[in-house]
Amino acid sequence: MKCKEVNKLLVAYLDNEVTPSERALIQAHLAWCDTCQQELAALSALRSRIGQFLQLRAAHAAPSPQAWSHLQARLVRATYPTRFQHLMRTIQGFGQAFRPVVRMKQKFILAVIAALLIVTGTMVSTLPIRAKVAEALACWFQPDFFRGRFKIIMPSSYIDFTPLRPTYLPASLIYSYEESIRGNFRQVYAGKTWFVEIVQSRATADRSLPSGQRVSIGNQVGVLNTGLQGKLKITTRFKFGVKEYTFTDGKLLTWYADELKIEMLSDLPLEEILRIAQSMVPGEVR
Amino acid sequence: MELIRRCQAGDEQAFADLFHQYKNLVYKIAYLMLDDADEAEDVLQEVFFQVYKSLPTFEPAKGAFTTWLYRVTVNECINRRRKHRLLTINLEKVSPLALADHPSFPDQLEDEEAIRQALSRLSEKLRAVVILRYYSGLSYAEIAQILNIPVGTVKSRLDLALKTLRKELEAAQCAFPLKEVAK
Repeated sequence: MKCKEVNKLLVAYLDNEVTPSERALIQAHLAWCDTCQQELAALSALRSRIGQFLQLRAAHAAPSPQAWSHLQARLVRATYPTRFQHLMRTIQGFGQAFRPVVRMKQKFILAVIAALLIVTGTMVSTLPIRAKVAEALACWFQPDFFRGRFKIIMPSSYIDFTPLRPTYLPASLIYSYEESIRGNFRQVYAGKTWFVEIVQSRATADRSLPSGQRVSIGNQVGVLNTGLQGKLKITTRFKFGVKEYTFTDGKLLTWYADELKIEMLSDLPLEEILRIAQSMVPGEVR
Repeated sequence: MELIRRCQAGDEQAFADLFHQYKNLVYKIAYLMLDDADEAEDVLQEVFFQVYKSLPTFEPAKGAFTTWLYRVTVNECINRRRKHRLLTINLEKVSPLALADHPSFPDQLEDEEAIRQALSRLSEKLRAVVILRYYSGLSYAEIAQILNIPVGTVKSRLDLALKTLRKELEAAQCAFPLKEVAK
């Protein structure tokens, strides 16, 4: 046996944990090897010193006199849980009980979701269905041409009537804008040098009209006020940026069309205003 | 065995007796493993709490109760040491002033502290085999059973542990074991 091999077994030799044959080989080696003898002596001394140290240190160590009472209290808490602990355990128990079911059904649920996505995708990609979906979405998402984005129509801004829209507008029309605010429906149509602002609301019971010049709009009677002055500011990211219309001869036309009260303000000539007013027909909110 | 059987039958007094019979064993092992009285107290509580919960399913035929108790204790200590990575104070860094204030500080106490430091620097696994062997006096086979490792691993861990301790103590210029060798 070489020194290296003996060295690895010296601790086990001192602990009487070597086989008889190993013991014989080690002893034969130690008989002539001074280095291993010294190593054995050092390890033996260290071994007994460590043992003494551990015994001495443990001799002074003792658990506190309250150890048992502390454990008892903990056992009582564990045996008779508080209402909160009991509730938490019940919830955990439910979670544990349903876990296998959830695991089992996880793949099934994923398969159903995947199937639904495929079916929905196929349906939406066909034109007639896509049109229906767009129509449904339009109830909630209104194109906001004014600001160049879609806006979500909140229920509070819903109008409970079908508004009218002009079927005639001057050819120089550049942009249009619609919005629903607090039960009113507002439309703005504008060209570079003109604008039309129409506000529609549900007619009140008295169907009162302001004083002014009476005009006929189809089979309805309206009131026209002229010579109005003011400004209309339009902010858009498209084409104009900010556009301000200053008018000195603005015309306000007010009339009723069935359940609706309509007010139209414009700086267009009177003939154009009347033509637009007469062209108005019911149309769903886009 | 009778005590265990009574505990398993739900005899609360038997469990109290079991606690008082083994509390020192658990506490001392934990104290030596963790080198901290408060931690050892916590381990004592935790071990017997686990024993209380697991006793109904304990099968004496599969192994002695003490072996199981040692295993639970050592595992709890190893887990705690790993979790908290208890801070070990280096004597060389902290004590020069203290030692200077006490010129008559006996060599023996210096050696004690050096051994404590060297032991605390051992890994959890090496420390466990050293304590089980040189404090509890368990055989390699028993240690192997407690730690659930082969006997050969116990042998190699003890060899490594003692040689590491020797190096540490020589580096700390500990009077021991060189004193003994000189004899």
